[in-house]
Amino acid sequence: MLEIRNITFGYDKKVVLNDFSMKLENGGVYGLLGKNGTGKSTLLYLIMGLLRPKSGEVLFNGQNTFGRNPDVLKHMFIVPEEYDLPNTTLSAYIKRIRPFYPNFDEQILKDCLEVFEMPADVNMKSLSMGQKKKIYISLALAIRAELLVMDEPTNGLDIPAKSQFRKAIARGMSENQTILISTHQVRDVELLLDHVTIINQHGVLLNEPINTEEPTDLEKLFLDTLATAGE
Amino acid sequence: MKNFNMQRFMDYARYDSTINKTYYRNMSLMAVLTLMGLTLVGFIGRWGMYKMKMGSSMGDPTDATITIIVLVAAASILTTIFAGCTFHNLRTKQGRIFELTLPASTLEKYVWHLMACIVGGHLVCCAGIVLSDVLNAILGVITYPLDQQFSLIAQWFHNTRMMSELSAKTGLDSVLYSLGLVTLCYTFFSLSFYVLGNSFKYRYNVILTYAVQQALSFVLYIILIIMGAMGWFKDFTPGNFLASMDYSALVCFLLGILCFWYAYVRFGKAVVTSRMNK
Amino acid sequence: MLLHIRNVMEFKESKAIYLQIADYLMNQILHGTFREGERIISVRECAADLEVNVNTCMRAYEWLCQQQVIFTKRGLGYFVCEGAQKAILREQQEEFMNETIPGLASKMRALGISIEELVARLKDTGI
Repeated sequence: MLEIRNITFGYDKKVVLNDFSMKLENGGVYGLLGKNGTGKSTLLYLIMGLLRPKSGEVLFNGQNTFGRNPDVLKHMFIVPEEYDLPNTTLSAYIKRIRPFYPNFDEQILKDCLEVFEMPADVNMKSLSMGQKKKIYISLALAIRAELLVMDEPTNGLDIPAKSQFRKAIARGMSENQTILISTHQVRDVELLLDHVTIINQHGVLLNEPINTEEPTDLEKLFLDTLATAGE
Repeated sequence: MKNFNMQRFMDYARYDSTINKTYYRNMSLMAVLTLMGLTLVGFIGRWGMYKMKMGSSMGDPTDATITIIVLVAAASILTTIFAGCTFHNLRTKQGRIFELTLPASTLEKYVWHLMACIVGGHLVCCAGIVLSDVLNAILGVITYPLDQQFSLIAQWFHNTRMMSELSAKTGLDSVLYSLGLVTLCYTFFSLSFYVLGNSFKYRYNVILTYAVQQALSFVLYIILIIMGAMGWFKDFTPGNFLASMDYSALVCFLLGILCFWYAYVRFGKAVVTSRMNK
Repeated sequence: MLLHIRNVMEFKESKAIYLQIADYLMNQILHGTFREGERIISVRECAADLEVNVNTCMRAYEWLCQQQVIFTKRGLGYFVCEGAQKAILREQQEEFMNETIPGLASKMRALGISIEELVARLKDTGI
């Protein structure tokens, strides 16, 4: 479904991703783990067609994402790490944005808002950072994009909210939907993942499905993998 | 055209209008208040001069010619600034993420932004001039007798009509038409230049575009002076002069098309983080 | 039926997650929260309650089906098998005898605690 083929990317002289490849199949929660500043956000932006790789390409269902074909974009959605929501109510925003996403499901939105203990409609400008995140994550799940990309979704959420986040993912995720969560806070998401990719600034250190037959301490795996690579 | 879907275009127009309600409202307000403010200043100036016995009677419409010319000049500056705000959604990183991942085609987004900022900008300035006229009338009614009231806009059309009658009488109407054509085409080019400038830089671009525009104009002047010194214009007749004005108009128009097209290309290739736009 | 869990279950690192989820559901059945023949919570609701991956939860449900603790009626969900309570009780008793007791024994040996001390303590608890 999503194929990242040998992409190289950098800013000026600094190379952030070098000959990086990765494949995402349909369905499941993928974890992209790495310390801060190792190119996780950059990779997510490259996936969404927000950056252009110096070489290589990102293909979503066979089409290059930098081409920004609306028929490709309507199956993808990103929850960035930080965002400002417009000065409107949630219902007004939904009304304007749902024509672009044909799979939008109002019930999922309601369910997720309930999990987050947020009201069904609210003026978005008056929200705190944590509240904005909850609203936007609910919206993102309701859109039911084939590929949902989340950049540090638990950053800025307090412990109860992190718990609500996990519940919302379990309740709001669609069958055959692929969610890619990038984070450095492994504990927040480890039980949600089907597949884990660990990166550092030099590239992919680990890229494998999670073995459900054995107990896995993901945090330990994460730290060990980084240590082996010489962090 | 496979790239342009009318339904999606309308959806995008509604979306952009909703999320940028505050922005468009503030920009419109700024434009209208600027124009009305200038009118107020003009009125006070005239009134001051009258009080100090320096001007003719308050109700003399020719005094208002300066005001209306200032308003039109201000409107042209404002519309140029608005053209430089075409890509205002790309000012912030978050804005870029939302704008560039929204499932509408680049062409649909571009056409809407041009309509909102250029066409919309012109409409707002027209509204501003009309409101200024109303303001001027209200101030006039308060200040001097009813039979001496006049309209700024009517004055503009009166002056224009007088000028074309005069030029017809003196056989210079072809000059007037060519001048009008050049002005129109240069305006078209100027607007496109500011849109192009915005496609390079999303913040503080109007000032920078202005600087580049001035620099290029300066270079052009130097070139013309050199050409003059080298005797290129020795054999210039009025006929040649008119023809060169018409060619300039054509060149401006084509450059305008080029700028609009290149801005579109750059918009399609916009990225979330780059050296010029952090 | 949604269970309101105030404190999220603590997952141990010693056992596969899906088996721990199965244990959790079996305990619910054992304590009568779900009675035989009754519908248990859906996979998705369980995943949300326990804050785990839906596929992992699915794996737990499949395992419970294999163990004949629950069965599925297509389109209607999962139901507790007849005799499931007894079967679970028996299984947990076996686990206690085969794993917990030997573990206790080796601990006692290591710490030098005698059977008499153990029995005395147990009597104090009111058994």
